[in-house]
Amino acid sequence: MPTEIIKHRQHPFAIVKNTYAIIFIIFIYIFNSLIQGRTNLSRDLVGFLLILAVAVVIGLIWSIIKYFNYYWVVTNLNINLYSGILNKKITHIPFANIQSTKKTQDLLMQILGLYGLEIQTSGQGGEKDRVVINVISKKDLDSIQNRINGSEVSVSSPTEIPIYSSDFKSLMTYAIGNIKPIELIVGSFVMFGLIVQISHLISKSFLNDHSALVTSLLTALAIVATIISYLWNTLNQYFGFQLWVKADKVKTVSGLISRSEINVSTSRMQTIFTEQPLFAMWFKLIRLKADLASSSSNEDKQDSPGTITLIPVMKEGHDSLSEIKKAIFNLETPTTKIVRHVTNATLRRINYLFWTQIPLLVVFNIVLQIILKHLATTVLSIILNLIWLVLIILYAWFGTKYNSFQLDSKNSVLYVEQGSGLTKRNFIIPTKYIQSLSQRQSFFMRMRRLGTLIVYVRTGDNSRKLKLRYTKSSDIETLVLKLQKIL
Amino acid sequence: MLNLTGTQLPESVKKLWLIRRMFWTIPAIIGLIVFLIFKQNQIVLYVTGVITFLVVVTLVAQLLLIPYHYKFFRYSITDTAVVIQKGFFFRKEDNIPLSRVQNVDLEQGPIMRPLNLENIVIVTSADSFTIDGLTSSTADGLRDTILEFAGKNAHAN
Repeated sequence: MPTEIIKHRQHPFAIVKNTYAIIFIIFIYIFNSLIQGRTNLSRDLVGFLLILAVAVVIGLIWSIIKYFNYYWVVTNLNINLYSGILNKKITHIPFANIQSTKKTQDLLMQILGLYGLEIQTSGQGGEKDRVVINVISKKDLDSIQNRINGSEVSVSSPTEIPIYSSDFKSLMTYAIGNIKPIELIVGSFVMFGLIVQISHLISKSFLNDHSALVTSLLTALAIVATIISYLWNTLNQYFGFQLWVKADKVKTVSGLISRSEINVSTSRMQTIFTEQPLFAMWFKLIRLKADLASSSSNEDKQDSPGTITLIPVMKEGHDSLSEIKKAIFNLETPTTKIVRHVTNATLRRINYLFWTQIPLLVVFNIVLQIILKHLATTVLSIILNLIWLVLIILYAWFGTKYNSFQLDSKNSVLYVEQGSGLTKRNFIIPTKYIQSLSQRQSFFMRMRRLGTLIVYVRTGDNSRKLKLRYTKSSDIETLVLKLQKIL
Repeated sequence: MLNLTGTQLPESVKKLWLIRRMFWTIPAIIGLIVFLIFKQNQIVLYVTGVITFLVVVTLVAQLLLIPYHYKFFRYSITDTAVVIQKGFFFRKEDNIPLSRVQNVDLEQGPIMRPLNLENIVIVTSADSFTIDGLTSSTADGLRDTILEFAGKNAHAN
């Protein structure tokens, strides 16, 4: 007798989940009208709400059709996902090939006891290797999780003590240090516009007040609001972070309003690296990340899709770090200090200034003249240029200060230290995961017996290219010869 | 460092590069037509003039660079890796360990077919590397050699 095939569907809440945004717009519009003192709904507002209501209805109908055409079947070895309305698609995922899983919950889903599930597999990479079930009930989630636990990715029961938990103070300190100056400038501009609009809604005469005091206060307010919004993002993402490592499995849990849980097998990790912005260096704080062989929906937009955050913040030299390194790559802390091959910083600085930063300065000045035509006085222009120049010098100094590499005595791990922007990164790359090597040498570099080595490591569906610039040719040759023998 | 060793591409690859690079004449011709039609309009005239000039300069540079690119392109297979070398003023050397080769693809476009040339693309799980314009027989032989070596290396690891 053939076994009965059970089709599992998402929780019906999935139908309304996608209409959040539209409902939010309606709410904002009504709120806006009320602030402006329109207690009765005007004809314009009714028309607008009608259009939105039609959009909501169409969205709901589409979601219902999509809901009934999206289901999965769990077999002993696979989870088979059926999707598509006009173009039908079946995705077969063997449990043994699952690289990592990620469970998410926003506030409403926490109240309703529902989850979002993302499964990443090892394959060609990209979207093809990722399956997302937007809303899944606890029962269905447990059923899938149990099957996965039986195969690859499973870590601990919640009662086990995590090997690392982040504290609030460190998290906030690191978050402040992680704000990029350019992001702060752009963010503050947007926030300034928002604040002016809101102020205008409260007091119509506000926009007519162009006094220097009011503008300065608003600018300060915009900068503070931008910093708060960054801090909030970090807090919402990493609050209450906990990490478990057991055998070759890693599990992380974090989040304030949106909770997320990541389960990943260490055998899928290609590289691990620490990140340390300049500000965080003073407080000796680091962030630990890992490159996976599959894509994942990373919330840190600065990273490629294959990179995940293992630890959002921890003290430099924390005991847990060596424990994690050992668990992931079976690495013992070196007993002797690693002698690093340092690259030529002066040449890198010149190159960096001429090819990257000076053109940016020119563009900055053009933008300043075009966009801020009415604002930009000569004094303001000089001040902004000076700030920019200081930043450039700081970037050039920092970006080139940290640039070195070292192969360990067993030729099994390549350590690379890199400074980029105002962030220092220390990579740990098991040589077995190095995919290929490239060397570059310009005429200018040849005269000085220097070269650039590029190490390719897989990250998601792409590659991480680690460039060791302006390195002694002899050091590159030695490294390449050693690696050629072992790769 | 980065001294040229290895096998050179066949002479016929120069023809392939010449034909490919001649495609740059298409935007130049379009630019010239627009230039003639709108010669009354100062802005269009200025913009088209600049673009056409840049295209023509690029075309001439690309054509003049063919002997240079040919002279300084080498490929070789060692016991452990495929090595591709390019350039003289800006030298580049790619080392692709045979044990990391995932698959080897052969490609042949419409221009390559009459010239009996093929591209060989060596794919690792992080990136892909192309040897441009090998004769079909050489490309077949090279593919088989890489796959054979890659198989041995993979087993050895």
